[in-house]
Amino acid sequence: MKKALSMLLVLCMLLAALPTALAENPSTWLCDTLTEITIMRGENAMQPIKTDTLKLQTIEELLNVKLVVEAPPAASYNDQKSTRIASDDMPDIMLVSTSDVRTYARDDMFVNLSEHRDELPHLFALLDANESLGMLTVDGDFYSAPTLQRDNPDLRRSGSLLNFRTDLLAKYGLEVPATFEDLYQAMKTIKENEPDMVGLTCRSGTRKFMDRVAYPLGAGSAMYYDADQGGKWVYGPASENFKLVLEYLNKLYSEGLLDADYATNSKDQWAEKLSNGTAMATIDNDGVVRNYNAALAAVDPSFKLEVIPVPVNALGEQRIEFYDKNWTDQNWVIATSSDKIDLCLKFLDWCYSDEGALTNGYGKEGVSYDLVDGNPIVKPELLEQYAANAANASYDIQTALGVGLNDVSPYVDAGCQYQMEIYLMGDEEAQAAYREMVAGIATMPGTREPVITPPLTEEQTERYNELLLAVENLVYQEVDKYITGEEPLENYDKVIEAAKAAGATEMEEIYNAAWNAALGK
Amino acid sequence: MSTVKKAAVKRGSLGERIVRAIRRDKWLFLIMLLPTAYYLLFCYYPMYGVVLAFKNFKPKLGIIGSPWASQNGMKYINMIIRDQYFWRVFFNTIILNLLNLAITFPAPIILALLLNEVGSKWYKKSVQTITYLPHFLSAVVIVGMLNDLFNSTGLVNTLITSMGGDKIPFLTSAKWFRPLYIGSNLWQGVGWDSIIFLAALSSLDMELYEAARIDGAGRWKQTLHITLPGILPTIVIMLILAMGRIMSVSFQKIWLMMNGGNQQVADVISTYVYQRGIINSDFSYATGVNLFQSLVSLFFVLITNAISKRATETSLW
Amino acid sequence: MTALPQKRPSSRPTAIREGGIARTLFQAVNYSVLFLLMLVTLYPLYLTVITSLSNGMDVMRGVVRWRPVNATLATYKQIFKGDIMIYMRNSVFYTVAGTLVNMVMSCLCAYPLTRRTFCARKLFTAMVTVTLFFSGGMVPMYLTVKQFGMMDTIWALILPAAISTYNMIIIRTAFASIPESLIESAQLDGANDLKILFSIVIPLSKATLSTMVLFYAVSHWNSYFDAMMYIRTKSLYPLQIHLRNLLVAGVANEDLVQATGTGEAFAVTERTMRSATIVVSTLPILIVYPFVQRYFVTGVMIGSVKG
Repeated sequence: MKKALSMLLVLCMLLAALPTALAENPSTWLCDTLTEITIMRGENAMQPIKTDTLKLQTIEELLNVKLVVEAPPAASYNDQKSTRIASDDMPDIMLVSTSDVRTYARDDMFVNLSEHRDELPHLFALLDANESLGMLTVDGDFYSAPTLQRDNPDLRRSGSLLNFRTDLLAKYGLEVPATFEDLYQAMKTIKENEPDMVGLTCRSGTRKFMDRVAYPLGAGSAMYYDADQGGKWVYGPASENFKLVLEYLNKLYSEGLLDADYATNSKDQWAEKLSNGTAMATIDNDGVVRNYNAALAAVDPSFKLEVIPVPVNALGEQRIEFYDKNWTDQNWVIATSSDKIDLCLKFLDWCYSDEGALTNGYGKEGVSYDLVDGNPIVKPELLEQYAANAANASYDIQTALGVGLNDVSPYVDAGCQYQMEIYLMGDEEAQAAYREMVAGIATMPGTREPVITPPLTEEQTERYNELLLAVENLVYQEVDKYITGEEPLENYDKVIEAAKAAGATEMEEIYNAAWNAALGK
Repeated sequence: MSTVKKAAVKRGSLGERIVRAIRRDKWLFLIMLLPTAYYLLFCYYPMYGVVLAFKNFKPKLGIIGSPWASQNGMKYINMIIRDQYFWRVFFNTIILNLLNLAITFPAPIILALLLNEVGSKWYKKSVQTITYLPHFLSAVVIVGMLNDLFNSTGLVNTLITSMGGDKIPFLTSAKWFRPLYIGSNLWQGVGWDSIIFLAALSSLDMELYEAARIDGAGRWKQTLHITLPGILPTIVIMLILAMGRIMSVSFQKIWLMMNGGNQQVADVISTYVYQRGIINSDFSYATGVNLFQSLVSLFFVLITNAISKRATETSLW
Repeated sequence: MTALPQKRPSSRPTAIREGGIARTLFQAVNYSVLFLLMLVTLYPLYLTVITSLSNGMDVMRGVVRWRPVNATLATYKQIFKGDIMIYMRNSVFYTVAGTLVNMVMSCLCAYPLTRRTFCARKLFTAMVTVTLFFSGGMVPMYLTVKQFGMMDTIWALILPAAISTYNMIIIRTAFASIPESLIESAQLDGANDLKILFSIVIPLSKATLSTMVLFYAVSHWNSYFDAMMYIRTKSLYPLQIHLRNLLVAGVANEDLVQATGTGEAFAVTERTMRSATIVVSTLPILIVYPFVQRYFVTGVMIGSVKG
């Protein structure tokens, strides 16, 4: 009897102790005592980073880790970032560019993640699944974790695509241009009827313009990977095909079909031309351009700017690059000077797990989102609440929850933003039309995935950078002369010669050698 | 040393003389104490950083601990000196700044003198208050306004074509870069820069003018013989200080104005260093360029100072 | 020239005789030139103000020219969202404290450099001048601030910028123009240099010093770089960091992969934001300026400021 009583007592004590023991150290915790991890990234003005968000609370509950986010303004992030690396005064984890990784990894500034492969199962599962990410290694090892995009049913691809005023095509009975020649003819016809209109417009100067048009027209604006020429790296402006680009642009320019201010347009001027209905076309970020439809509609409800299929160029190629699905220039690194490297590794790996991605993307399950058939759905009442404050609803909801690309999210699930945006579209018909358009762009023929530049050795980097500046300065002082017709096209051979002599050929050699080395050829 | 001092410090050993001088000037030394501490701690102490120009910088090892660069530490200096493009941007910088100085230095003085002739107090105040405002506009805004005014369909070209002229590609022509850059600097700075001269004007002695008037001197003569000599020390010091900035050009404005058409004259040291920096965070190279800039501006200041010392007896030291 | 004698007849007994056609003509031209100057300055500024008050979409279409179109305060609401009052308060505090330190330090430094009898004058002048040309650079400065334990404190914004040598030299020039005889007679009365500095030299240089207050204050008000480098706690941020972030938001977003692309309303755009930012950061200076201007607006025509 006594024995039984004492056993009962012990059992009771055990039962009583059990929940507290569980609460004290749940299996999800990364450490026994609440520990701070300092993380630095730039702050996007549209989405301030707050210290009391649902996400941060959730992370603290789940992992027993308190994130301290240092977020200097994105505008001046580079200065601060490089000073802090150079002063060896880094936070535990920080966001750096690929070139930072390549510059400083060899100086032992960042933890070699490949050495901790076993502790980073989620991260390496993703890295191994995407061969092209191998280009981010330095001497064969990963020193950084790139920002990756998690699949999402609403995922939207975009790029510098050809946006055209399709209402004009209908008005003058024109077909949607299938080739660049058709595009020229179409703009010519429109210009004959509407002489005040500007044809193709662009922003931010010749250099950026060439970045957007040279590739679709058959060459490249700088060093680029040309899969159509047997797969090798080519310095675009020093290639024969670049003459096709210049020839086409010169043809447009001389007939008034290229914006006369193409070399100097600011973003404001470009936006003005698109939104007051004076421009026919632009090759640019389709997401940004689409926004101008709201302004266009105020001029005339029939005006419509939309993405049209990739035209075929003079070489018979159909090609345009999407923006990278991942953000391979936004890399998370752990400082070797940190005193809690192990915890940082655990935390970083957690970010690449499903739980991490959902927390960083949506907040807390049951509070800000629900899983429906495995898909995270933001609580409708939250969408409703933020939509009421329309101007920046998609940013505002992410600010409040502390989620999304602009916060600490190494493995981005942008569903929160997408769902907010789709909600704002209004009725189901509009939402369906939008979804159809997104699907159309994602599967558009001729769109390509961008290629990550190959990793260079220290000597290659130094030599390449020196050559690049000399060659770029040489080439881009000439390009405009050929577009405006100040110089006849046949003289461009001399520019090609000069660029090759100044180092374009050597640059191509360096890149191709590094590329083949990285592929293990 | 000055005669005053010789008289004050009588004969004795060097040590005695120093002690006596310090005792005599103890208040001045006391006053100088805080500023000296400031200069030593925040200006001289960090100056060890210039050795970066001769180092192969490794952040982990620190500035002092990093190994010397190759070529006896002269790697980056040699790189700068041998770089032909560097010399082009070097001369671009000097030419742009000298021209800029020639226009934007006298303008605020003239404005101050003109304002000084204005009798109506409220008119004077309004002109002053309004003209200093553009000082606060950022380069982004200024260049945006230049673009709006001078593009192919902008106000200026519209005026030119309406008078039967041909459109001028202001923004993309090498010929027009300097006038646009300097003109907008003038517009932006003339009011603000005149403030210092107005302050100097206001401390001139009225009695001198009374005396001149009694002697029958007109306004023009008064300006020539009293006003200008009165603010001359300020003018000279401002000029010498401006010469000290001869190698530095505000980066942002040029960066925004530069394009393929005008790059041959527009590319300056700061934009070039930025281009290099954006590709590769090259602290040693940038420090080398800074060192170089410092030496050149020092040279310019020494010359200006020597000339002004002869001509006006005003000098920086 | 005509208004003046009536206002201050006693000080300008001979003014009327100076008149004549040439003088009237000069004044006519002078007034017109200054009027024109005001006009070309005013319009772009006016445009900035009306842009900040207009609907972003209309600004984009280029229809805002003479008055606000679809006037809205949305842009200002966006700017004033969040912690801006804290930033504003910080900025005011940094500006006042920083300028105070600047003025005291600059005056202390400038005065001994004007004393011709000071035995170490050349030494100190050389010490100061060298810093005009040579500096350590960004990284050593950062390390220095860190080493002195000033990181993330207000001291990091005030001490490293305690003296601007340029401004100090301008103050020195003003001090040097004070007649030696005044100082000598004070010395004979037994005043020490500290007393001379504060009771004679500084009061006699009011015009220049008030200008320097303005220069220093404006540079503190507008500075963001030091704060960006040395301040990590958001509640210590000055206003400019916040404004600058808003200002360049559009530029930074230029190629943002996730541009919204859903045709959200364009009440606020980067352009209206930029304009409003200029207005917000310039307004305080506009308010303070007249108080400073008092000291030097009165030029030689009206009478010099003495003592």
